Amino acid sequence: MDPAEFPAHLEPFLCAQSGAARARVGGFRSLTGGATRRAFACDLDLTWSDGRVLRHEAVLIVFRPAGQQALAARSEFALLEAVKAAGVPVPCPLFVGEEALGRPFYLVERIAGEAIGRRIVRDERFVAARAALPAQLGAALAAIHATPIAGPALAVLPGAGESGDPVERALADIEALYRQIAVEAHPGFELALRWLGKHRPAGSARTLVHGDFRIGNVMVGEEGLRAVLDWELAHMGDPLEDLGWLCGRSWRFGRIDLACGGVGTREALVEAYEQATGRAVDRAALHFWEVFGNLRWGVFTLVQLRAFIEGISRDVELAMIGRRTAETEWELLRLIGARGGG
Amino acid sequence: MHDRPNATEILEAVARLLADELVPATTGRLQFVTRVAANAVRLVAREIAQGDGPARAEWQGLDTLLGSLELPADTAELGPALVERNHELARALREGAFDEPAAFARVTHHLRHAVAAKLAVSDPAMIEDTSD
Repeated sequence: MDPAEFPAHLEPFLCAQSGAARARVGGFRSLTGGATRRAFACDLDLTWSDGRVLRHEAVLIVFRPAGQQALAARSEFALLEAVKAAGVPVPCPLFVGEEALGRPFYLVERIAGEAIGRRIVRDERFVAARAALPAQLGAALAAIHATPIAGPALAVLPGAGESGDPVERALADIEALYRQIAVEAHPGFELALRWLGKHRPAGSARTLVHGDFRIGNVMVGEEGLRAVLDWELAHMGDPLEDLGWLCGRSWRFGRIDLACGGVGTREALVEAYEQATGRAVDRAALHFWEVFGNLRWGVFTLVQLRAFIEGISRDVELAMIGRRTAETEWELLRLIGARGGG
Repeated sequence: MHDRPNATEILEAVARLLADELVPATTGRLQFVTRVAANAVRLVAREIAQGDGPARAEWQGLDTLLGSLELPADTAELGPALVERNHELARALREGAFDEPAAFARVTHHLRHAVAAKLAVSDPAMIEDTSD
């Protein structure tokens, strides 16, 4: 089905789902395209037979039919409902379906704001937002990690129902992905894997983990955080994995001195998180997860390189991500104490 | 021998067209990929300008870790031979051959130089960074 046909097919679906007598889908336009999903903006006007009307400014997420999905549309929709109920700032989930568009999709409330990291970190108009963000990001992570585990929404996530150590699982998964995907050997990654194996944190918890929590995946207004987006890598694991990922070197957008996504210091983030959770963060464990996060992003760059080499996409930006692997090796060498300075 | 302009001079002219004329004339996704393309052309220009010096230095660094091996006579064989030697280094690291502090220091010394050489082409500014 051509995306231009989506609005006409959504209208009867919306009537059936909402009980409205009439539904109109307007303002339809493409937002982003990706390897596994596409996003469109649209405005939903619903009218019931008793005269009631409701308007939703919405985002339609359409999953590619053949795309390999980290999470199915229905699972991701249920997860959004669960974290919304737990007080995490997310776009309100509206409708989920499969048949109406010939492939899985869901609709969420459209939240205005800026998601492009470079602008959030650099633009003058986000000065106040940057001052507020470390505390807001810490509080949002605390809310994510406090989401009740019991219930069907989280039961389908990777890592759910396991009794083993989340640290072991995370290490095994990233090493397996690296060995499966790497076209050439990366001695820097081998060194990092070796280091991680010898510096495992003693204690760990198992909570919901967002999996891709960083500047670039949050919607920000001039006052600060509005919503946490991009839940497709959510899983059950150690909560500090999210904090280490957020501090990764590759999303500071030029403000490399500010580990918390280029908007604040690592310590400001940790203090906000500690205040929101009421629990102290083990700094050595956080360091472990920061090393892990940089390695994980390094392996993800290899995944994208593989897609380029195999001709799945010939885009120049995908090609250039292959030359960003060295950045992660460089940061890993610094973090594990193998590089002087800094 | 080719006539002037040389390869890096031609690439620099293409990069200027992309960055100075096409980036301001485009918007949205096309502007983004045009900026990426300008950076890509400049990366290739830096790589050509460096010649095979960095690859030879990496070979010598691997000699100190894996034992000396004669440099391939044919420059075209240097790249594939380096890939093979890095596989060998990766295997040794995985088997714990560089766990002892002295060996760890030697391998990190080598990797520091090898990765810095890659960054000198892909992202020269990063070598100077002092991250938090």
